[in-house]
Amino acid sequence: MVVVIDDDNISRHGDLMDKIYRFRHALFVERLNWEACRRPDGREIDQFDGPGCIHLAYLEGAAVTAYTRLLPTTRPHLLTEVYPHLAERGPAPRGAAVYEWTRCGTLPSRREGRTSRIDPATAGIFIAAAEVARARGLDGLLAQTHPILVNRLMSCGWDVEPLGLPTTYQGHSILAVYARLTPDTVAESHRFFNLDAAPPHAPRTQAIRPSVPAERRLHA
Amino acid sequence: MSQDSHKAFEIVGRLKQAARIPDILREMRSAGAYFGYDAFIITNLPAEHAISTQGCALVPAWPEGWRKRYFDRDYLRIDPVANHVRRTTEPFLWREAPYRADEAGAARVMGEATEFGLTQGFCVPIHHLSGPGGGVSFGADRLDLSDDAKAALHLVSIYAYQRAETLIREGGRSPARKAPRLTAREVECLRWTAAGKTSWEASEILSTSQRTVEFHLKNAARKLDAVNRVQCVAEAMRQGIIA
Repeated sequence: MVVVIDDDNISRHGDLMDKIYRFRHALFVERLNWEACRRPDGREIDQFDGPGCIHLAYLEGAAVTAYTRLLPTTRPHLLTEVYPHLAERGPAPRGAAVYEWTRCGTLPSRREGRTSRIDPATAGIFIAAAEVARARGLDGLLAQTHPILVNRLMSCGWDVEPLGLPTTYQGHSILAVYARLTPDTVAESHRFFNLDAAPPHAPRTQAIRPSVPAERRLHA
Repeated sequence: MSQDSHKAFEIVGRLKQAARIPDILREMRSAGAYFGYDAFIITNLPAEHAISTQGCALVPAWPEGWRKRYFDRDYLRIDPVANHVRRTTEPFLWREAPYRADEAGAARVMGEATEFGLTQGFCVPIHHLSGPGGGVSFGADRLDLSDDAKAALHLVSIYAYQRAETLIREGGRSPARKAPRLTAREVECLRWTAAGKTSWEASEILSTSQRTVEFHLKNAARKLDAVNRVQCVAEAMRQGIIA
């Protein structure tokens, strides 16, 4: 199930946030070798974590098995601060209706191999990102991702616009895109990952706008 | 922004709007004039236990003779470029696709491609689903690509594959081939064959010679890629040429 954490409920999720930071360290530092993010206490936190962030954690039992973080673009974010050169075509979309889709990953032992099906944790996080974007009335999400994942984004119903050409950052292939939400994105994401049942979400918090009850009806 | 970047974004914009496979073909052919490739293919890779590779290609814009040989002989299975796509997420030049000296089949595919003017090439892997994935491959007699040009083609490939796959999936049909045009006489002979008439009986009905009927049926079979009369009739029905 997916838990959505933001300013309105983060104070109630101290334990889970700790698990999240340790998950991020295990995945991004230990597994993917993002040495610049290494911290002595084993909790991966950067200068963008803080008020305004939305954390999405996929839980299996008590363990975080997939995660992603959405950053507001009304403040400095990755594309403006860390690698602005990726936005070759000019200033990228930003504003209250645009968030940045960051730190998206699944527990290493669960990541899909070339021949296995897509992990339900990955599916859950992708779908949740679309649902949160829709619930909050967003226009779209900025993303900087490996080019090999862009087709998947499009197959999930995002209208993906390239912001630059594929290039590399610290040895990894990367492409900056703007994934615009369409009326079909949530449904297409469900269809792509073949999950027909209602997605098991944790109880919504007040942070999510009142459109949620209507959304729940759509899933029924 | 470099000229290659600019070109790539233009092409991507038009690919997103492509309404039919021929639009993609036209866009990619015109990109070839700019980037320097002569031919390209947008294809899936066969699943492990797939019986044939005939259904894999989405937009097989190889030279016709090479396309036919490539798929008739299931070259997709032994082509070192296709096999390298399975191993990597990064675009590569054809000459970077490894094969051992004792892999005669692999060497043969690369060698025969040169007969059709495809000596050098560049390939972009596409892995959008769990499964074997696919790729977009560009070939030419000579292909010199700067890093910028490679990145541009990488981006173009992502969108070309996506649009082709979407159009074909929504169109509910298999690969983009030109619809075969049968003559009226060919259709007539097929109809009578489908009704159970021998070529002699059909010739009597149509007031022509048996040889002529068989000539029409052979042409129909060639156009429909059928190996015998039964398959020819079946294919004609499948494509709605006869009821």
